[in-house]
Amino acid sequence: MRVLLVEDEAALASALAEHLELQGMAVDSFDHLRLADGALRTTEYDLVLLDLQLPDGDAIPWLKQQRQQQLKTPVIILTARDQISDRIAGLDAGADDYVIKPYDLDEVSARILAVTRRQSGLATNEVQYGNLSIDLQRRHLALDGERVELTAREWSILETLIKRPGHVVSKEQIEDRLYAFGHEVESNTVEVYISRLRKKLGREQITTVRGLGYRLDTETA
Amino acid sequence: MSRPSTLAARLGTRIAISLLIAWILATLVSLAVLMRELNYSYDKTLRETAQRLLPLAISDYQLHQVGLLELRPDLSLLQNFDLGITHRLLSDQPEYLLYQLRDWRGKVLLSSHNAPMSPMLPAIQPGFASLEHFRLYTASTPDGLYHIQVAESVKHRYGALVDSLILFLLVFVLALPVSVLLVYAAVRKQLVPVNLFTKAIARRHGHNLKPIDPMDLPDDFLEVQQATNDLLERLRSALNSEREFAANAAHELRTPLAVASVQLQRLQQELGGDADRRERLSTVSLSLQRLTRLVDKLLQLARAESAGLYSGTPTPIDRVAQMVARELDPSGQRIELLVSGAPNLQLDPDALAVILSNLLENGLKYAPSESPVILRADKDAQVHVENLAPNLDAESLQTLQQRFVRGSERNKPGAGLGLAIVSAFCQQLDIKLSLGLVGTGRGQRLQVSLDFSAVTLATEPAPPSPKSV
Repeated sequence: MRVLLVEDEAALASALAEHLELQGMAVDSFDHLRLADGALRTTEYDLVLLDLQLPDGDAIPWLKQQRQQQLKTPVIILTARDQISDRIAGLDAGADDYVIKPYDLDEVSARILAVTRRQSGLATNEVQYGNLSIDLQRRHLALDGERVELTAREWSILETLIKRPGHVVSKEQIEDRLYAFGHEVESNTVEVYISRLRKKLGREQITTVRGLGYRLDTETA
Repeated sequence: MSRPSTLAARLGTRIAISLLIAWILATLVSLAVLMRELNYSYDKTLRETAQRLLPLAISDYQLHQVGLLELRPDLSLLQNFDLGITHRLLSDQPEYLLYQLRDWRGKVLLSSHNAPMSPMLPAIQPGFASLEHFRLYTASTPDGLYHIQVAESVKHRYGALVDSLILFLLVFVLALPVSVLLVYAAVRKQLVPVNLFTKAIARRHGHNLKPIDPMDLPDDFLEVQQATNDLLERLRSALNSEREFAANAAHELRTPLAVASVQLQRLQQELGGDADRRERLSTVSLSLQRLTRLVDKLLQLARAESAGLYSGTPTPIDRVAQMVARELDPSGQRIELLVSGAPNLQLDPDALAVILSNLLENGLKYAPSESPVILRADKDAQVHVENLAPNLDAESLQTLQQRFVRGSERNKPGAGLGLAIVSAFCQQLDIKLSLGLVGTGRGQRLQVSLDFSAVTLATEPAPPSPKSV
């Protein structure tokens, strides 16, 4: 993957470039919009990492202009401005995502991956666990392509497990979640709902780890 | 009696009082003039009457002397006297007119039936004289042998004056209230633009510094309007430069922090398994994170003053909430957003982001580990941030509430600062903030509620943002 990095802070640019190169990306780093302009014309990039405040101007109008000139490459903004309006302006100008300085290098890699995946049409809100497909946003659950209806509490519990797939989630954590949403919780509530979920999703999906809690198994394929 | 408070009432009262005084003065002057004119005209009539009566009375007296009048009463000239105004005076209302014919010695020769036999005025001097109840005129023959004294009742004379006075009073009683009402209505009408102007000024505050629109103001107020607009403009530009300064400061402070952080992360990556050095690096890293957070908070606090500046672009609660949530909880494990259908706000997105992020951050910090923090926004612009708080009692809630309300403990980093920031922003933006406990036992939740209805956009929520973050 070839990445165009536009960043005027040399120490920041070099460290980020090194990190990305270690991840197997090719990084071209420029410190002026004017130079980035030229690079975009001559080279095909998979991604642009764009600092907002550069010596030759504000990057937001620049980005808007690039988008108007049919630049399709995904763009992630790296900004030291702390206000959400700047981020909104960046997104509205055509950025795909943003990262705030100081940033976590792994976070940047993760965002790059997510954005390029979205670009290639892979991204979706649906998560696949074996024969289960779950769309958390639309609260849509399908088993082998068949829609499964869940009650609010069943969703609540399933969500707790899905958010930590493959990890053990304690009974207390599940109870906390139920409490947080204002549900009544009896001593055996969690057990009752886990068994209902198993009935609907198949016994092998949720494993009981004795003395610790429950786990959504991701390996079942 | 309390002083009337509105300008219209004050003006109305003053004008009404002035009108009353002017009216009374005018009435008095008119009455005086009227009285003079009446007297003059009555005197004239009285004189004419006397001069006409004199030959008639002499003739009647002489006829009477020779005994002819008793035989031929129809010869009496006085009885037949029916000329002009005197006729009216004598036959229709004879009561107020009296006369006596006297000879040169003052002896009463002849008198009207209502006149006394004794002389009304002992002396005989030609011209006018005033008695207690009468106005009297003496006319004499040129040879001075006969005199006639005609008296007119003063009561009659002033009766006409009283009639005029009553008429004046009647007009006064009827017209004055009407004119006062008209004055009041006119004043009120003229003051409408002034009142609108006053209300427009009253509506200007932290988040409304728009210049006041020109209205049909009297010239006296145009200057005030201009001055107010200048002042608003200066305030706005002062707040704007304050905000710009904070934005620059943010950039300048965060850039070196970012350099340090990235270099540190690279060091950590390059450092192999040396546990002791890793430990030390992670201490540095934690310090750096704390420093970053502190810088953030201080910059937010510095922005509270200008939080009210609003560009006019509606702010969707859901979009800002989603962005804030993702920044605080990138993996989306803990923050739950129930914000669909929430309205757009007439509020700076940065101000909303600061409020929501501080509340969510506190929720994440104080809720039992891994338990969710829920942000709920309904269509009435009521926003609630909820998290489990099983150990919070009423007393600590009150302490918390006080910190929120008073915005005290500003100098205490961490939660105190977050609360102070939220409180400062809410005060600046007139947003009501309240804390409450919901549920009991392990299910007890802390609910922080914000009422954004004062800054809700009247229109329908805008279509969903083109890009979901």
